[in-house]
Amino acid sequence: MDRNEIVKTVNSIFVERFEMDESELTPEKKIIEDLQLDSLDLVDMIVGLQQKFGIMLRDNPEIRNVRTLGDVYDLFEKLAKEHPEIADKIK
Amino acid sequence: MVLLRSIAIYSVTVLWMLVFWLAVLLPVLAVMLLPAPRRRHVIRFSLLVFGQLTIRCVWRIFFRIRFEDRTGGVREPGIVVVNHRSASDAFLVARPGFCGAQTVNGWPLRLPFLGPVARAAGYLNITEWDYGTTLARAREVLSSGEMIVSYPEGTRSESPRMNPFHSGIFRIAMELKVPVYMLCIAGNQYMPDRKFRFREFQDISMRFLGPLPAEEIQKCPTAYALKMKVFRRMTDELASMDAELDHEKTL
Repeated sequence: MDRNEIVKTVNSIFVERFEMDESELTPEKKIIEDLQLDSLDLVDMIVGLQQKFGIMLRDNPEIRNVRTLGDVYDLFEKLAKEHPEIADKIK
Repeated sequence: MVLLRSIAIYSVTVLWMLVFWLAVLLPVLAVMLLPAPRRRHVIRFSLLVFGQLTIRCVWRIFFRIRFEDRTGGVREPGIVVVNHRSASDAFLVARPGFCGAQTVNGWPLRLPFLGPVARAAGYLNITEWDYGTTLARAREVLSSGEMIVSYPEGTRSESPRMNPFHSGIFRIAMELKVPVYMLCIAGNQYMPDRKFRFREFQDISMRFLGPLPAEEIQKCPTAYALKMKVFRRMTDELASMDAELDHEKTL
């Protein structure tokens, strides 16, 4: 699964669940400050990512370091390398 | 001049507060014997009367409040989302004339006098209660036919620009399947400011919008989607209200 596929999949969650315009989803965007997600919205985001990629993030310490959309892409790029089966789970 | 008027408005408001609450003291004490839901309703009604008289009579000496009701007279119980520029908002929300419980941070509930009144009225302590407690109390208020008045910015912005919204109250609206109204207040950002100083006196404009029907709310995939829908609508409305106020000032 390459970076482009990951970006497309992550962005689809923000478009479907948060009704964001895809054009505003750029890697440097801060999830809290720029996209205005609060702590409850972050739970929705994590649930969406878990469902889409078919992996649990709750116990992953790196999810706590995510600040920007680019950080989310980086995290899933790393996870995709560690778990190649992710590509098959994408719904 | 502004300082003198600030001293005057605080003096008159405090004096009026004492007169009103002393006048209703005995009935209010009697109400304390009623069961909690009934007691809260009566106190909320008293606060509505107090707020209405304050802004329509007492503050009328100092500034004008222009109010437009764009709800078409609909008063189905729901969530009223209010932008929050100043402490005067807590009084101004009485203007549309509905009875309701406000959501507040913990600290106003600990203020002398106002705190016990707000607690007796069943105001929702949105920062210190867990979600389940807040939801249960919100359900109780709405099922008694009243509104929940919420400031999702969480704190005063003291500026024409709104702070980002928190999602909690929108989650409650979705869960309880109730409509969402929008109450936009412009012109009072420095009346008073965050340090409770009146830095200017000018007309205040209020528009009561909505409601977003419960069916439309249910179509939102998440509370975030709903909050951003409301945020954008209020941002547009407030921009036009501020522009009108600025235009009037230049005339």
